[in-house]
Amino acid sequence: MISRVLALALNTFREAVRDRVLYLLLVVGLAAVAFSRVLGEISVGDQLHVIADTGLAAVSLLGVMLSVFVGTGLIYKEIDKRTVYTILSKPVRRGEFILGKYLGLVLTAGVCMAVLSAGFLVYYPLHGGAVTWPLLAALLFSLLEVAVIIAVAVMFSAASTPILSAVLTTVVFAAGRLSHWIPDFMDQLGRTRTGGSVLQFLLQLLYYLTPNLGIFDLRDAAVNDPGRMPAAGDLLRIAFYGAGYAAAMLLGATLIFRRRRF
Amino acid sequence: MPAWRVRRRLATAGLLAGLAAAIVPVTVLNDRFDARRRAAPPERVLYLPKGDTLKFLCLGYNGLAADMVWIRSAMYVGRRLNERQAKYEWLAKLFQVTTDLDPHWKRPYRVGALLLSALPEDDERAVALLRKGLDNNPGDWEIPYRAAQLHMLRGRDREALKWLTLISRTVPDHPRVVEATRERLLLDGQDHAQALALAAQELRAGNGRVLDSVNRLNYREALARLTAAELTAWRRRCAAAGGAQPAGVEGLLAARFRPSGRGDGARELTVRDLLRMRLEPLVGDGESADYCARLPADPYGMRFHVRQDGAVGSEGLERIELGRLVRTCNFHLGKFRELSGRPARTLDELVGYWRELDRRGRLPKGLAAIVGHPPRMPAHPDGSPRGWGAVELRDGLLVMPPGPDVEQMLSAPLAMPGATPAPAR
Repeated sequence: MISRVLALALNTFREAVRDRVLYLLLVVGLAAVAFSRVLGEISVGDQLHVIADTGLAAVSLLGVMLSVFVGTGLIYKEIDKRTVYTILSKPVRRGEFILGKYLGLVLTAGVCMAVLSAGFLVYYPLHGGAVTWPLLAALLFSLLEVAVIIAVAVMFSAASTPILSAVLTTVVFAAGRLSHWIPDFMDQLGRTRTGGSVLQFLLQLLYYLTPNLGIFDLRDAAVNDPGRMPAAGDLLRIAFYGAGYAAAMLLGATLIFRRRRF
Repeated sequence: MPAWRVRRRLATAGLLAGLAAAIVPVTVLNDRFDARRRAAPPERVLYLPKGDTLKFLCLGYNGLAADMVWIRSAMYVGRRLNERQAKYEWLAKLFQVTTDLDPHWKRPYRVGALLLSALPEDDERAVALLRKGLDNNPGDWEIPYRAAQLHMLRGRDREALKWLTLISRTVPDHPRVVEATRERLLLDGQDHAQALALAAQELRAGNGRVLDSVNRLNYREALARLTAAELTAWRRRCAAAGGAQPAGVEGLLAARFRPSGRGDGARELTVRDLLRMRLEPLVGDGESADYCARLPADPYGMRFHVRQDGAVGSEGLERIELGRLVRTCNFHLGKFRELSGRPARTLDELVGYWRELDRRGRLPKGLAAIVGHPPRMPAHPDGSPRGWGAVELRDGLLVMPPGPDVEQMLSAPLAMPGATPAPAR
């Protein structure tokens, strides 16, 4: 099974790196990192802060855009071009197909983010910055966050068209980034006693359904105050949460894909 | 050349011509729009939602958004400095939004407070920004130290002492300089020397055009305050020695004393020389010698003088303080006009408005420090500044008495640490 999944993943990677969008995103990301120096010049003496913020945000944004632009068309393209017949006529389970596609795209995103991160990690010390473990952890957890978003994109891709998948993935990404506001909002509702228990329940449901992407964001601590980095145990828990959520999305994608008739 | 190739080349040439024809008007139009945008007052182009709203909109990329707003603030200050306008009405909001977006980024608190206190001279907002910074970064010692510096610069040593005590009680690993400053404040009272040394140090380090402009303002103010305090002390020493009081500041500068701590055999030096020696370690030999040679000229191109209470004061600094008080009053006279629909006819009406604010508990803290509880006629905390009697109320706003304007005073020749010459504000 592992060899089949790996073969699918490598094939997906090879296919994805042929996509020109990927290179365009990478060039834009590298240009943003290079341009951050200019922004830093006019930042009244905090050039390093601007370079670090821009570099980390560029790596994260590259991964997110890649998931949305490439990930959402992943399964649909196979069905549309009918290459899925060739693959599924072989002894490959549908779950293996989904997992292979997912791993292939995570590998693609990982390679792209690693290239951009390497650019940033070379550029940052050139301006006097120090490459610290919180900075590396922030980059690594950006990749973990992207792995979760790719899982969401694959699930939507298994169910609908690329455009709809892209819209839905973007919505889930935005909701995930803002999901930590939901408990505050619920507290507010509770205090003002507006909205009934149904609304509270729906909000609670939304809170658990959307991925809590805020926890993967270590950029603030890495740039401003490494002392506020979560402890190793907490980082491990965050990684488990990401893996669990991605696994749930992939299982959902498999369930949907198993019911599809070609 | 075959006909198809000619046709193809013609088509390419046509496309290139079309491209050029499209680019030219687009560039011209863009320049025109840009010129219109530049001509518009910053209020029109600087619309910013609240920090919390922006935080929601930028989907977690708060740090990057904070950087952008911070850079916008720097550009705003730079532009105002270029235009030599003293209006910085958006500055506080820009810093508020920056710090809302990235509450753990410490530089906007420190630099923001410095700019707020020096450019719009809004000490109240500057201290509020530093207090916010301290709430968000409780382990940082530099933010409260900046607040202490600000109070020291203004001669409010009790306030400065409160901040320094706060650091020594709440931040365990604060550096030695905090305790040293605190001890000196406790022992000597006013510590203008520390404020001057810090301004000189910042200027020597060079922090870019915007911050250097601000540090030059602080340098002049600290130098004026320290000189006035030192000259007052020497004048008191003259009185204590029982001799005749020297006539004016000129006479005081020529008075001779034996330097303390050098034994009875030491040669007597003039107060001018003693002051030069006092300033040398703080600002540098050349700067100190140049400044002392110009005395009794003050750092603003005006003069030091002996006040009625016997203390020595700087005419330039007194005029600057008078300007601060007039601006504060005019801000509230504007509010009065907005609320009542007519300009104030007398200053009693302004005091009445402040009393109403005080009754509702809405009198700003900084203003209360100036006008008291219950508010009375405006007066500076150190007593009515010189020239207050000559301030006139015209069309509902206070008008400064005739005299040199701030820009003129701030471009008065003065040797300062750092390479660049002192620009006017």
